[in-house]
Amino acid sequence: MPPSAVSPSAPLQGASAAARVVAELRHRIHALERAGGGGVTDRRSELARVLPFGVPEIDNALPWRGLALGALHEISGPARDAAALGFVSALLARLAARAPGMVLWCRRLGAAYEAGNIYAPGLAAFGLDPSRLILLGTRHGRDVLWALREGLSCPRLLAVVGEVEKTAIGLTASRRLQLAAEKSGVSCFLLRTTPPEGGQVNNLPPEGGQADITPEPSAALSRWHLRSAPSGPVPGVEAARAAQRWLGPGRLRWRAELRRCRGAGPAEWRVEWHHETGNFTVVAALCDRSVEPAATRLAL
Amino acid sequence: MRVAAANRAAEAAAGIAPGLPLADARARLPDLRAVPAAGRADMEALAALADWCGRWTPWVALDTGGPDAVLGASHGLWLDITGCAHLFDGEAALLNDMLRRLARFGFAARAAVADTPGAAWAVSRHGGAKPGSARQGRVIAPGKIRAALAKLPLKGLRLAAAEADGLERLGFRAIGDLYGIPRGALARRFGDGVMRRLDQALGREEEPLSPRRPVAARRVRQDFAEPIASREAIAATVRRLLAELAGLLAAAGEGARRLELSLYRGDGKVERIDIGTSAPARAPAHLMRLFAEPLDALDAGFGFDSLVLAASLTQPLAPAQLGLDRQSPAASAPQNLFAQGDDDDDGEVARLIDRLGGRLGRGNVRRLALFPSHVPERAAVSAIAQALPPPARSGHWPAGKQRPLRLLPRPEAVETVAMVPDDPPVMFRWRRLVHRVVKADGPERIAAEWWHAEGAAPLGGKADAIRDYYRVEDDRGRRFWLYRDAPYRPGMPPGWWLHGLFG
Repeated sequence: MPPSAVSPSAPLQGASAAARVVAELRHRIHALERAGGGGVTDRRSELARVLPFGVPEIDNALPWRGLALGALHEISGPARDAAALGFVSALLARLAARAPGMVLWCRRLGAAYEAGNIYAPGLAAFGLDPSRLILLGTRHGRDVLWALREGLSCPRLLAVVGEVEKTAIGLTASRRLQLAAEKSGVSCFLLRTTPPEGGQVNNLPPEGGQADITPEPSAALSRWHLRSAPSGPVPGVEAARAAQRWLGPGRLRWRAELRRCRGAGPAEWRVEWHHETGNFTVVAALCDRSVEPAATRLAL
Repeated sequence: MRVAAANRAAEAAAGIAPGLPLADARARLPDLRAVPAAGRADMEALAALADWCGRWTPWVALDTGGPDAVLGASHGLWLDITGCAHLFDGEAALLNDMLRRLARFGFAARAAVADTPGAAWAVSRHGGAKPGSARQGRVIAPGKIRAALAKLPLKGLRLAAAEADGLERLGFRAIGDLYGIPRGALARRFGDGVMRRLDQALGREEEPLSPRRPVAARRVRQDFAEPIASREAIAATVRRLLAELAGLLAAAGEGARRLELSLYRGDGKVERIDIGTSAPARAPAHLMRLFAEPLDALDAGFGFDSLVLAASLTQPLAPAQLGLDRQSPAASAPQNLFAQGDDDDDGEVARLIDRLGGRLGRGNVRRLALFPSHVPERAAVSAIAQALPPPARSGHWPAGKQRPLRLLPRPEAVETVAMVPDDPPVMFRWRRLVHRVVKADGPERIAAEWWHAEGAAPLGGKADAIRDYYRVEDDRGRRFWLYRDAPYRPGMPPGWWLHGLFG
């Protein structure tokens, strides 16, 4: 719980001092937890070590009031759903706006061929300058891990992204990545793919069988699962509905599920991304009501 | 059929020389063993030998004889050993070393050192070394070529057959016979070919040799009395050579963009390792890391007895290196959070690119940039990250133009159900899964750029190809970029394609 939530309920001077001590202790515990006992590099300020979402609902739920930098984060999402990629791009855009440095992006060449390659104009639309990307293609999935570690050893990088798909990484390798990230202060994002959801297949079971597989153990500081959510409203909804025209997709929305995080419980938010300003907002759950223009048209 | 080449025994026993008809040769020597000449294989062997001779000098040229040379008869190698002989204790020692090593491979070789290529050619082939004699190498002291050539036969001048015959008919036997002849008289009769060859042999006319492989300006070498084969010993030597080369480069104010390590094996093979860097570099530790990977894959055989390291491409390198992220827009951000103030850090990203490229292939480490084009496939370009200069900050993407985060390498056909042919589909099936469309936005019409020639144009090679792009969202909120072949032709079901996925 943040100290600001404690102090107003404590009228006495002594109590507020105690709250400050508690906050200080909490902070030190978090620092110890993150750095694995080793000291946090003192030349980086607190500002440089945390990337806030800018949304109090999410930031307050995370032990560092934001996403800890210099750490390993795993972001998974179903196949044929680019929500996880969008989430990482949004985080990188926010990160790149604050600090200089290049982003190393590693993926298997075959995966780029199957699932599509990241597309520079799309990144630019997110606010991430594509020229700040070093794009690495490897022949084998295991080379991605090697390249990630290599990238994490270079403190001049801003972040390292690995599209690891379904490759099993294992606890040891992820621990190694986490330690390398802590040492250099470079953040590492792992993009994972889970089997696709929804959609009807003719006489065929869904790809990959079950809707989800039990996640393998990982030393990642936080693990997220991202799914697309019906996009936000666009101006002129009523007019479009009246004219029985198609509704355009609105702002990107995702269901961001924090599945595991050191020092925080699981949680889920519906976030909206404003690419014009580079900000997240949390959308009230009430908005999650699918619009039915297509059904209306079908009934015509 | 003619004799292309004869060994020393045949030459000594019956005077069998290249050019002799095979029937004559058989008549002279009934138990002659003839093998069909393999011209191409001979040339390849000679080229390999030329590369191997790089151990003595980088300046090795192939001598393939004149245009009317008998096949294989006059093939040889030129080595420009200017400035190299002292490394091997003088010219005579170098020549002996060469002949000894060649003999070990089973090559019968004749060699000579002289002031000019022409004189060396004449002395090595006709230089008095009696066939079968043990002495096959001769060193003509500087300034002594005139005397050395005087007694040699005219064949030593590399003359065309007609010229040689003509001179012979006139009674000229030795090269020295030509010394006193007025130039004009010879030129009138034979053109200037004879005079030119004579001038070249005597050093009155330059005869440049063009080396088979480019000669690097900065090179260092290490020889071993005993071949080395272990990975550690080779690595230690490379490290020492890199340090030495770094000194040379630093003195010249240069950095290496490309390095070539040649490892000469005892059995005549040459292993070469090429590495490239993304920015001029000379720091031995960094360059050593780039060599580490290829050194592992080296086939040492029985060991290497000579290592040569050359900077085959160099560029000026000022003491301060420019980093890649100098170009990044956020360098002017209010707080330079990750700058560590250390000069050496600037090249760190460049070195990372080198390391990644060294192991995974130079072409697999790329940088992205926007390209001003409406055609989706052309709007993004990726350049090899090691190529200089690093792309500057790419321009702003125009606001309001929505583009997917993932673009499929090529559009994939989808089956669609649309209420009206000219409308976005209400359903489509992509890779076996059916997506129900609830929202759609479009069309955004994109046409091929008219200035491309027919067939070379993007959008499938048709200059008049037009696509109508739609952004659609399915019932789970997944967003796709679909397009329909346009314009719509009545009676033809329009083709729908999926091209990208939005975040």
